[in-house]
Formats: sequence, structure tokens, C-alpha cells
Amino acid sequence: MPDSSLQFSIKQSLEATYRFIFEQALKGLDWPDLAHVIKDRQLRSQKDYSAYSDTLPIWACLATGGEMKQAIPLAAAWVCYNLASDIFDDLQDKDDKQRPWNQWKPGRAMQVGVGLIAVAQTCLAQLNPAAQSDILDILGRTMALAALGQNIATRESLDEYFKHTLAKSGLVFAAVAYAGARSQTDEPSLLQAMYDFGLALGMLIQIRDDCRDLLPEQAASDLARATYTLPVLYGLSQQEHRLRPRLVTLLDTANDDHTLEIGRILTDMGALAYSLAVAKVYEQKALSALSVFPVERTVHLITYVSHFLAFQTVAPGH
Amino acid sequence: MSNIQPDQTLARATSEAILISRQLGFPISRDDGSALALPEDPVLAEHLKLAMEYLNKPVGVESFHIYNAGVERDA
Repeated sequence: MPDSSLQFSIKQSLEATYRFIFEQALKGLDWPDLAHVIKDRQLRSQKDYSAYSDTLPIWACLATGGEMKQAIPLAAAWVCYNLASDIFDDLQDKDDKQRPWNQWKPGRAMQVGVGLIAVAQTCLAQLNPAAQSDILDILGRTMALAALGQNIATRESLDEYFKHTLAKSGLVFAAVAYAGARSQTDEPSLLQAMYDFGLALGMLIQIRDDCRDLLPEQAASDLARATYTLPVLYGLSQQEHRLRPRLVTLLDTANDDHTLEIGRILTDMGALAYSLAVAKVYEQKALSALSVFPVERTVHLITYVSHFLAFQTVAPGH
Repeated sequence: MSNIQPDQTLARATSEAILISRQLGFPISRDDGSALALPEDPVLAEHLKLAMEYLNKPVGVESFHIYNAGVERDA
């Protein structure tokens, strides 16, 4: 008989996660700013594929035979950690994205970020004690590496690019997927498979975002800070290409007005296709890692992974 | 403590990512211009084969734009 928890939709799992945060983790904590940023994220997650990201620990737990309720505290902690990371990233980058904390003075935003980490720990305190130590250990060590990776201001070599991307995204998603599985099982082969899945997923997400950043309507903040993405690194590596001098000139004076031309040049240089091919490898690695789990338990994870590069099947004009 | 060591994974995964990247056409610098062998891992080799097919499809900023608009509309 199928586990009834598999019938839960993404929407229901998202609601359960945020309900846990508001009704349990924030209980007795009268902090309107903190509640506001969480509510803001909840509203955004309801509108796009962020809902899959927020609930990733739940689907990892379900894949290994667990039930939704086991991983809800972990998903809640993951939401809080993600929000804290967004706040600290924006503070570091002086980003002006439309987020509540970017309208505040830095000290106010910083306190909310620290508060979110504390709330995340409160959530993790609700985990099964048998798994708690492993989960705290891998999350702690991974987030330390991610914070260290964040200090790399520029990534001008392929080696630095991948090290940074792995630390900031690949390892983080790996640890969160592992933690979701660990909340149900201690079977090493299953934990390794879920870790591998998360690692590939994190790489896929970041590389796909690198490509998306070249869209005209996206902020060109990475380009302006000379934090080069994979397509840009590829373009710069084409030493003999006729468009390289123009690319270098545009990058040296990068601003939002140049994003469209940079995107066109990188398309002409094959940089977008190359970057998406690398992403494709990680998409396939992620799907391969899931093959050890019953397919009916990984439907949401497969959907999540597959949507990132699904544009190839969308005909222009549709 | 779990059996998985993130710091060791970081070093191994970085090397693999560079290998994947170069197999897919990222230029090898003059300093290490030796030819790279295909990965011995048959699964990884299969992934690379798929990605090479992917490379042959037209991909541009415009098609990416269409995709993103579709995702936002469907959400």
C-alpha cells in the first residue's frame, strides 16, 4: 500500500514547513522583522520552483522510505539558513534586489540574519536524536566551507570557479539532501546516493543561474563585480576568437546596459551552449544518483531536476 | 560524525568538474596541454556523451528567455 505521505503535494509540504516555523520555531519570539522576511520568502516560494528547493529535505526523506513529518523541522531549518545566507550575501555585495532587508540599515539586517541561524538551530533540535548528531555535523562543516568560499571575490580561473561553486552550492545541496535522507536511514549506500544527488543538483542550479544571469532583465551585478560566471570564463578562454577583444572591453566597463551585448557575444562564441552542456552532465548525474531509490518515491525530485534545462523541449513561440 | 567529509569531497569534485569541463571543450592552457583521457567511469562517460549531443543543439539567450517566461507563466 503506498505511503499516504507521498500524496502530499509540493504546496502542502511547503505549507507544513512554514506552519512549523511560525507555530513552533517562532513561538514566543516577538520579532516582527524576522517574521516578515520569512513570510516574504514563503510568498515568493509559492510562485515558482523555489518551493521544491525549500522542501528538498522532505523529498530526500521520502525517497529513503520516510514520512514527511520526520523532515519538516529540517526543511524549516533549511529555509532559515537559506534566508540568512541571502541576507549576508546581499550585505556583502551591497545588492539592491527587492527584498525587505535591503531597505534596512546593515545592522538591522545583520541581526535578523543571526536570528535566523538561531531559529534554524531551534528547528534542528526537533529532529530524531538518533540522526541529530550526524545532521548537525555535516551541516555545520559544509556551511563553514560555504562561508569560506564566499570570501573569494573574483573567480578568474576554472579551478577557482568550480571550487567556489561547489563550496557555495554543490556541497550545500549535498549536505541538505543527505540530512533529509539521514532523518530516515543510516544505510551508507542510500546516504551516499542522496549526497551525490544533492551535489549534482547544486552544481546544476548554479551553472543554470550563471546562464540566466545573461538575460537582459537580470541584474548584471556579478559582471559588474568581475565575479565571472562559467559562460564568461569560457568566452575569455577563446584567445583567438574575433569577438574576444570586444568581450574584454565590455567586461572592463560592465554595467546593465552591456548585458544584452555580452549575452549575444557569449552565444556567438558557443559559451552558453558549452555551459549548458556542463549543466547537462550534472543533470544526468543527479538523475543517475536517484536510480537507487524507488521511482514512485522520487517523482518530485525528478521533476525538480528536470525543469532546469527543460527549455530545450520548448519550441520558440510556444 | 557522518562518513562523508565535505572538505575531501570539495577537492575531488573540483578535479572532476574541471575534467568534465575540458572534455566538453574548455581550452586546455598551454601549461598543461597534454591530452586528457576519457574518464574511466562508464557512467560519467555516458553523461559526457549526452552533453556532447546537447552541445550540437542551438542554444541562445533568446531561447533561454522563452523558457523563463514559460516557467513563470506556468507557476
